Formats: sequence, C-alpha cells, structure tokens
Amino acid sequence: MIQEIFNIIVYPGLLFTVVLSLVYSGILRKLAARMQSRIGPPVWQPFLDIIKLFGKEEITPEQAKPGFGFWPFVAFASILIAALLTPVAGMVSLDSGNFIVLIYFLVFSPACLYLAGLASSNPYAVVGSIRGLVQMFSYEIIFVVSLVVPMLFVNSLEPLVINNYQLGSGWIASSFPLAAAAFLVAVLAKLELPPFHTPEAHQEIVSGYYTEYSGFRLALIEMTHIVKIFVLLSLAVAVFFGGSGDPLIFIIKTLALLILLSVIRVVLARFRIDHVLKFCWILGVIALIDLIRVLMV
Amino acid sequence: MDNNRHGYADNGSGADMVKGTLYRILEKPLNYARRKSPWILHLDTGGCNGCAIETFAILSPRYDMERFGALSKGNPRHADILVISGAVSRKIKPMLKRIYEQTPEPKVVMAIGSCAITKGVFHDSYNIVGPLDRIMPVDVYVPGCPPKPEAIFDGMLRAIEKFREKVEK
Ligand code: SF4
Repeated sequence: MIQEIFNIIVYPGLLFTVVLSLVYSGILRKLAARMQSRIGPPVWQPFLDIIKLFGKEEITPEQAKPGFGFWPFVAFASILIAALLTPVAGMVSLDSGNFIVLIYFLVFSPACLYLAGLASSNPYAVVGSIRGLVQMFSYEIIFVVSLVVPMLFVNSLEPLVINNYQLGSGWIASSFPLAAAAFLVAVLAKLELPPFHTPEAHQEIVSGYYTEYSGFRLALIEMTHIVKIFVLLSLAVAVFFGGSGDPLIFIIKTLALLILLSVIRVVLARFRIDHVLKFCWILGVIALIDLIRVLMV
Repeated sequence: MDNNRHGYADNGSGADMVKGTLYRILEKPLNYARRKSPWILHLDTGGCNGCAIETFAILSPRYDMERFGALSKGNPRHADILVISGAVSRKIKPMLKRIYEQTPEPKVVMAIGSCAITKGVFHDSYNIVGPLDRIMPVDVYVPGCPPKPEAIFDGMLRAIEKFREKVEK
C-alpha cells in the first residue's frame, strides 16, 4: 500500500514526472538557443517561469464563457493521469489502465485546452482552437494507427507488457520503422512543436488558444505542455525504441529523442493548417503499410 | 476590487486567507523567479521605427535577451515588462491605456527613446498627444534617438530591479 502511494506521488509518479519534464523543457530551450548560437536560458528556467506565473494577477475577460476558469485544471489533471499510466523506466505508477485509457487522456487534455480557447471568446483564441481541432483530426489518426502496430505485434493492450517484451527481443522500431517514424511525427504534432505549432502561431494569432489566460491558469497550461513532452517521449521509448528497464537507460533514450525533436524544431518552419492535414494523411498511409504488415504476420 | 501588492484581490474570504498565507510562505522564491523570468511586450506607438529596430536587436542572437530568462511575448496578458517606444499618437492613446490595463500585476513600464520620453523630434506635431508618462506611469526611461541595444539592455535590467521596489517593500 505504502509502496503504491510512493509510486504514485514520488517515483515514477507525479513528482518525478513534473520535475523531470520541467528539466526536459529547459533542455529543449537551451538546445534551441545553442543551435541558434545564442547562450540561452539556464536549464532550470521553466521552474522560474512557472513559479513567476503562479504569482501573477489573473485576468478574466468580461465576455468569457462559464468554462473559462475550469478547463485548464481538467487539462492539467488529465495529462497527469496520462503520465501515471505511461511506463517510466520499466514501471507504471497506476497499473490499472491500458492503451485505450492512455490514448483517451492524451486526446482529452489538448481538447480541454481548445475548449478553454473557445470559452474565452477572443477571436484569436477561437481561431487557435479551431486550428488545433483540425490539426487533431489529422495527427490522431497517425498516432493511433502507429500505436496499434506494436499492440498487435505483441498482442497486448498494456504499455508495460510491450516495454518488457522489447527488453527481451529487440526494438519494435527496427522491425516496423515506418510506424515508428510516423509515431515520432505524431508526437511532434501532439506537442505542438514546430513545424506543427499552427494552433499557437505567435506571428499570426498572438498566442493561439491561450491568448486570454494569465497568471495561475496560464501556468497550468504551460505545465500541461511541458508534462506532455515527457509523457510522449517516455511512451515512444516504451513502445518503439527498445523499452527501458532502469532509469539510466530511460533517461539516455528520452534525451536522445529530445535532441532529435529540438533539431527538427529549430530547422523547420511552420506548416500552414491545410498543409498539416495533407502531410498527416500521407503519413497515415505510410503507417498503414506497417499496420497491414503486422496483420499479415 | 483592488489588488494588493501580490497581484490578487483580497476580500477577506477564507480562500483569500489561504492564498495570502501561501504567498507569504512562497514570497522569497516568488520574488526571485520574478527577477529571473521577465517576459516583455514590445509596443511601437508611432515613432520613426528606429527604436523598434534597436529593441528587436536585443532579441537577436548577438545580444540574446533569453539568457536573462526574458521572452518576447506578443500579448499583454503574458507580459511583465511593457517596452514602449515612439511618440504617442492620438490614435494609439486609447489602445495604449487598454494594453496597460490588460497587463497583469506586477508590471513595469519602460519608455524607449526620446520620442516616448519627451516627444522628441515630433514635439510640435498636431497628432502627438504627449510623452508617455502623461498617459501611464513609467518606471524606467532609456534616452537616445535611438538608444543603443546595450542601453536598452541596461534599462531592462533596471526594470527588473524595479520589481524589487514594487513588490518587496
Ligand atoms: S526616439 Fe528617435 S529613433 Fe526612436 S522613434 Fe523617436 S525619432 Fe525614431
């Protein structure tokens, strides 16, 4: 019992996830800065940003609809639950879920943020939310199709089983490279990192769906983004990239994926929203090839 | 409802008392974080754009504002420091007031360039309504036409110090 509570609260549960994901997001910013030959912020900068945002005044627009104050909390809570269901270093904090629940919470959390954008009745926020929803229709398909491949291959709905299977018999990414590549692109799109930051396009629509948020709730939204980076990276490691049995291997693998993401983030410019759709549908077809292959095995 | 110096409305209810106690406990890390993560909003109010270009220079890799934790935000709700350059024209005055009010407390205002400070070369123009400090409280003045990026940087660091005066009394 005490062991379970420790697993949920400290390691590999909430505390470990939140601290490590803040550090990861700091590393992401630092790497981007170094690649642009800047010095960049210190690695612990996200901690400072979040603490500062907790201390700022909160402004609620007069025309905000009822859900305005409520959706950021739901989004943050559901990404935390997703974090508890993801295998971290060969352990799952809450071992009562499977892939279906995980996929559900990973969809639910951004959907809440888009609802928050719609509730704030700001034209920029509404445009951002609609773009986000359109983008969701495109990347969720590749995300799910490529996730189904390891599920069928190992014949299990438990992320942990797939993780442990790979510890014995090699990376699934080596036998299904197309699905793994499509999964990484879906991760990039789910994280709304460039080239998929269309919903919050800073040069076009201010800050997208979270334009109207300030203070505490903005901190929650930022935390949702930051924890999502960690959740999806650990999911990628557990499902495609060999799994991980101990924390060191886990951190090395997730950091390698993080470096890959930050290179893509610095190199590419933003897609237009219709290009996102076309691109993701093509990738969906590519992921389908691997799905057919796994069905024929 | 007035906001107190921590930037939240205190009307004596239970939730506000809890909030107040939390803020008192967390005051030290909070103040440290405020100085280390100033997000700026740059706004050009209608000068010749010289100051705007010099302000954008501090975002560039050469000067790299982000090493102090500062980010450039296009949105007053996310900003801590308002960096305002150029002479205030009649058209932008109401917008300027709204942007000031939309910025959450605690905030600091910087006036960049002679135009924002004294109207500068536009002093006898028919549609320039006045120096910036007639319209909103200004905390830091950076003189020059335009000021060098180093000077704007220095002003930004002084603006960060202003948080100390404003919040940590
Ligand atoms: S101070 Fe000089 S450089 Fe700056 S906006 Fe005014 S005229 Fe242009």
